[in-house]
Parts: sequence; structure tokens; C-alpha cells
Amino acid sequence: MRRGRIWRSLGALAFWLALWAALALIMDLRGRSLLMPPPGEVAARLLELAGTGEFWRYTLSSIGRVTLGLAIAAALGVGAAALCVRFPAADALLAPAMTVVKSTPVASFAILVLIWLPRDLVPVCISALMVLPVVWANVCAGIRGTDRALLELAQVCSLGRWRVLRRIYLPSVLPGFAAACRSAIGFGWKAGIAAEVLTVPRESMGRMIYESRYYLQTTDLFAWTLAVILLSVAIEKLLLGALGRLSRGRGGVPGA
Amino acid sequence: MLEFRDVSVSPGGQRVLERVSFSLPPGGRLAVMGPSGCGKTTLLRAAAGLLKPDRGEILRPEGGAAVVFQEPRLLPWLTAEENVNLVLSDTAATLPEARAALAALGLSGAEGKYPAELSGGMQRRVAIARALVMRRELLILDEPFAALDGELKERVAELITGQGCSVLLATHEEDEAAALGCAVLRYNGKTFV
Repeated sequence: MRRGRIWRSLGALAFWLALWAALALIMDLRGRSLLMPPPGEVAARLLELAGTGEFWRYTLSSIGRVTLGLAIAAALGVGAAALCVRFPAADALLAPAMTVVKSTPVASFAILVLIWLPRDLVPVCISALMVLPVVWANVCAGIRGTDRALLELAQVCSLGRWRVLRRIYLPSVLPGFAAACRSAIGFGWKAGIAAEVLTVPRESMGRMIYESRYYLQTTDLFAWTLAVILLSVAIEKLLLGALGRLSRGRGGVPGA
Repeated sequence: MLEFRDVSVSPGGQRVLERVSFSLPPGGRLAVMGPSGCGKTTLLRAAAGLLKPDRGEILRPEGGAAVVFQEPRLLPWLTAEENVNLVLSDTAATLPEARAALAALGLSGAEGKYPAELSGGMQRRVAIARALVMRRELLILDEPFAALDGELKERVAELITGQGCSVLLATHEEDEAAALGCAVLRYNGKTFV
């Protein structure tokens, strides 16, 4: 079963790479090789870049910014969700704000935030803003979905607040939080890199993408984009793996 | 002791208990009997402090009550022993006590299992073990013998009576009330008397 899935994934990957190679060949035959470098050339360039200290410095800077943004979003999202569930007035106040944040384009936010913050902090802020509504909505749903019967049990057993939080609320919220992370990591990463492209911080992957486009270095543009994609997948796997381990320790919370 | 003084309860706005009065002295045992839907569970929930009376007064023991609900209400992400230990210190120090309580109910070997891995009867026994380790003055039991066979019913009844606490039991079965040596509070079609 699992082997079949791996083969299907590899087959799909091979198909898309072949399509990319075919398109690159057509462009090359028409004398427009600049528009679409072949996958082999992009992979070679990525490997070449990966051998430089500059690549890792820029990559780590971008990872740091986006991770900080995600952490801020997670903390604020969980806090805001707890407030909204506890106090209806907070929910009435925050729900429309979350809708506005969710509907505002990354570019608008990036340009606005650039006016208020140093450019190095803009991607942090954008990642956080884009991910915040997702975390907030999922954690709200998780808290509201906590089994009332278990809360009654906690009440008659006189369990303390900390025990109720740790033993009932936390495991109830974890699947929603994991689901939020699943969709938010990729989203936050893409938003953060988009913000870097728009605001061009000194050391960032976004800056390299911007400069590659500016100087028409399409192979570099593709290589940096590929690096962004690979890192997005790797970060998502790492984080979800950690959440999965956490939930396995609690009897396998579904969804994590 | 537990005392209901002219208590009426209307969960969700619908009057279910009508002017119920009774007194359960320390160590006393009382079975609430009547057909399904007559308000036995409502009476027990009011006794446990989960429902407020809209008339009358309920006097409860100071430490509150231990409750075995109609459904086991086990935390699905905790093992059987962790579910019992939850109401103790919830640390490793009291795990032996939780294990002993499970063993007394014939659950040796099931301590590390999650609720989803246990049968309905085993889950119920875990819930009973959890209530017993609390050692409260009042034990409230909502049809605790459901899904238990004859021998287990006897063992559970022995453990409950052995605690010496007051017992408030909801049941359909006369023999279950008798097994615990309970006086009976019966539904007369309008209220419990």
C-alpha cells in the first residue's frame, strides 16, 4: 500500500519534470532559453549555490524571519482564541479584524508595514499576519469543540485549572492546532518570501529572487524558487513530525 | 450527608424534578428508581452540583461527591491508569494506587490501554475505579452496573459498600439496589417519594 503510494508520487514527479524539460526544450528550440531553463540546469545551479556560504546565510535569515513570524502567529492565535472563547465581547471585536486580515493581499500589507517597520521585520510581520487568522480559527474551533462531558467530569472531580488545561483542553485543541500548522506553514512561508521579494531585506532569499528577476538570471530565479519549495516541504514535515510525536504520547490525537 | 429540601429543577427550561425532598445520612444508601426519562439522571446531576435548583435547597457534603456517570467519560488520550490517576495527584507517585484500584476491579493488565482499546464493561470499571479512589463522603452512581456481568456486579457492589460512604444510585433494577443495600426513592408518576 505504502510502496504503491511512493511509486505513484515518484511517477507524478517524473511526469512534471518531463513536462518541464519538454517546455524548456521547446523554448530553447525557439531561441528563448532564457525564459525556461531545463530542470537539470536548475538543479545544478541549486547545488552550486548550496555550496556557498552566502546561500546558507540568506536561507537561514529567511527561515529565521518566517519561523519568528509563525511563532508570533501561533502565540497570538492561541491567546486570542482563548480570549474569544472565554469572552464573547472579545470574539465580536476580533472576528471582523481576522476577516479583514485574511482578505487583505500580502502585497498591500507588505507595502503598508514597510512604512511602519524596518524592512528586515516586514517579512516577520507579514508571515505572522497571514498565519494568525488560520491559527485563531482552528484553535477557537478546538476549544469550542472540547467535550462538555469531560469538563463536567473535571468539575465534579474538582480538577485544578492547570490540570484541566493540560489534560482536557490541550489534547482537545491539538488536532485543530496541527491542522492549522499544516495549512499555515506553507502559507506563512510563501507570504514571508513574497514580503521579502517586495521589501528586499539585506540578507534574504526574497532578495536573491528579486535580483535574479531584475538581472534576468532565470536559472538563478528557478534555483532560489526551488530552494524555497524544498525548504517549505522540509519545515512542514519537521513541524508536523514534532506535533505527531506529541500527540502519539497522548494516545494518538486524531488529525495530528 | 446529602439533603434535598423541596427541590425543583428545570434543565433547559423544562421542569423535570418537582418538589423533591429526601435526606441521605452519612453512610446511608439510597436508590432512585423509576422509568426512563422520569428524571433520575437530573436528580443525580443536581446532587452532584451540576444543575442548580430553581426552587428549594440542596445540602451536600463539604468535599463534594464522586460521580460515576451513565457513560464512562474517560479521557480518550489517557491510559486506563492515567484516567484513574487523574483524580489523584496525576503524578507518578500515585500511579500504584491507581493500578491497585484497577486491579481490585479485575483490570490487571489493562492499565496501559487507552479507552478505545477497552470493552464497554472495562471502560465502566475504569470509571468506577476513578470514582472509588477519590474517597469522597458521597458516591453518586448513574446505572453503574450496566454492561457488567453477574460476578463483576457482585465485586463492584462489595467494593462500593466496603468504602462506607453515602451512596446515591440511579437504577432500573431492584436487585442492583438490593445488592448495595439501598433504601428506595421511587418515581410516583409526578415526583420522587
